[in-house]
Amino acid sequence: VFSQYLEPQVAQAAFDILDFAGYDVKVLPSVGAGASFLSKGFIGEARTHAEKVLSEIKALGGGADVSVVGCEPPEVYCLKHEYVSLLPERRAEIESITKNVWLVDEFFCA
Amino acid sequence: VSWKGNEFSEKTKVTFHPHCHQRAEGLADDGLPSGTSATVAMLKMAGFDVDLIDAGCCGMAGTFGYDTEHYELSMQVGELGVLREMRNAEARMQKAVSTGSACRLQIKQGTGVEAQHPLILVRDTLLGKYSRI
Repeated sequence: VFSQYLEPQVAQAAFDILDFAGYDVKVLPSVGAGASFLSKGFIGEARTHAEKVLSEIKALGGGADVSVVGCEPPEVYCLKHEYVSLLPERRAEIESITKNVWLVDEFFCA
Repeated sequence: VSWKGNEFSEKTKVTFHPHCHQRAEGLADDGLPSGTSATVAMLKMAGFDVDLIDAGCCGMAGTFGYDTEHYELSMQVGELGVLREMRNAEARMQKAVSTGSACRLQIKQGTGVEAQHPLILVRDTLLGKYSRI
């Protein structure tokens, strides 16, 4: 959310480094992963947002071939750790995606 | 492109305040850096000497410090550690960095110090050194 509306220069820096290193970077249409909803107790909205984000990742062929990276720790770890709790019936599918979700700093160190 | 291994010879000291969610991230299953340690590792790979501070929350705590009724308490929390550490960083001529957008705003409003996101430091250093243009 901050990267979209307040500090786009942070996301741009991540994009520049990834581009420089030769990665093909696609930007997901959704803003954030839903951490803002969760932090204020909007569980239903967070669940709906999670479904939207997962659809967007799957549209890119999500899975082992696609790494999902983010700049903001709450958003990245919301996607990585909270989606299974939000959508428990999709556990296997979510775990196959979230094993390739990284804070961009972690991605650079992998 | 490989940029691992401290190819940069000129060290720059930074004082790093990590986001709380990052500090809460546990160790990675594969043993690779995760959460706070990943940002420290990334900065070190780009040639920075990192002072990692362990000063708790900056006081902003998500949107808590944005609330009018919480502003004073928020600043008091910041003064318990983070704001003092950032003033010290500036006094030592070290760059102040933080991964939290709200943290950086709290630091700016509480101390006047303009903390930067580490990705911007790394990008500027990396592309300045290895620009293909």
